[in-house]
Amino acid sequence: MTESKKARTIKANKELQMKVGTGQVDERVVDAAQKVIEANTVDFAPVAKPELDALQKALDEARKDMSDGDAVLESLKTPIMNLKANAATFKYKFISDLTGTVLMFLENVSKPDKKILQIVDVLHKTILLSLAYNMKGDGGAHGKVLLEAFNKLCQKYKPVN
Amino acid sequence: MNAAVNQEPYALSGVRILLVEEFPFMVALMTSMLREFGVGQVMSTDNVQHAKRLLVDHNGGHRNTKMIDILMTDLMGPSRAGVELVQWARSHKKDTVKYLPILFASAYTSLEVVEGARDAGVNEILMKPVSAEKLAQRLLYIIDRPRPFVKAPGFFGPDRRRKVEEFKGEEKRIRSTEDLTVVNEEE
Repeated sequence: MTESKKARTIKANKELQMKVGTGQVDERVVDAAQKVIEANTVDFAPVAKPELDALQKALDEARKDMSDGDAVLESLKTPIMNLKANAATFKYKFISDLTGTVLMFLENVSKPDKKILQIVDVLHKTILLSLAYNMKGDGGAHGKVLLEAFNKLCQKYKPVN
Repeated sequence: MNAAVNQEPYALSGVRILLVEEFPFMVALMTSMLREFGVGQVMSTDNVQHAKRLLVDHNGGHRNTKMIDILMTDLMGPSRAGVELVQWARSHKKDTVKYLPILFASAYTSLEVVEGARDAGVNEILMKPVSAEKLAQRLLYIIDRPRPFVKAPGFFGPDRRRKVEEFKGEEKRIRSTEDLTVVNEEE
């Protein structure tokens, strides 16, 4: 083994630990921080709109041309990822769960096809309706049914030859 | 959430965090949460190039009291500029940038993204959506469990192994000090 191929370990830097000390984060502090999320009054609909528009555009373009599969999948995943990341923060946990399910499904897809576009299209419409009907939190009974339906839909998917 | 029993809370007032995030509302929320934890200063930018300038400005000179202590970056969209920022930091000539603790946030949970971030040299990964508990937990990991860095062909960053378990089988790994050089932080 030559010198350049050797792995070297470098001692952990404890400067931050020394600066901050050791101790605990009070659960009340964590609760107070969580309340910051829960107390935010920002309306999610305008936040979601550019992502939903981007998703619609990605669907429209994919219907015309799916030759660059990686680019198509990326254009679908990006707005879905952003919706997943932000929806729960604005009290729409249901939308985060739903987009999380579809995102995980898309992450295991190697090539887009018509069935995938249909699933994403249904997701897009479901999110629009969820926002229109103000389905906050876990979406209640309807949310549970819809989430289960999406789970089944993604599990049933078979690639189009 | 208690890291230890019967101890005083962490003194986070002297900690400076640089937050790189593309959504302004998320910056506002994360900043508020970090302030609730007691973090002294939260700087933010939605631009990776600006983040690099801030890191050079604060950490590029001699050690000082204005240094950024933790970098928190998002994946930053399809360009994955957040990963590029991590790679830039880990290859920086200044140790105060190179060894900076990095918390990486992403809504993508795919193995590709997680491994990509880990291989770029992040310390911890925070999955979005973010909750206060998840954020606190990741910060505590960074503070309480500073990891040694590993410099190997094709990788520089915090040791990716979470725990060392006894290997059952023929020993082929490097074990002797001749093969594993331990150096101090300042090379």
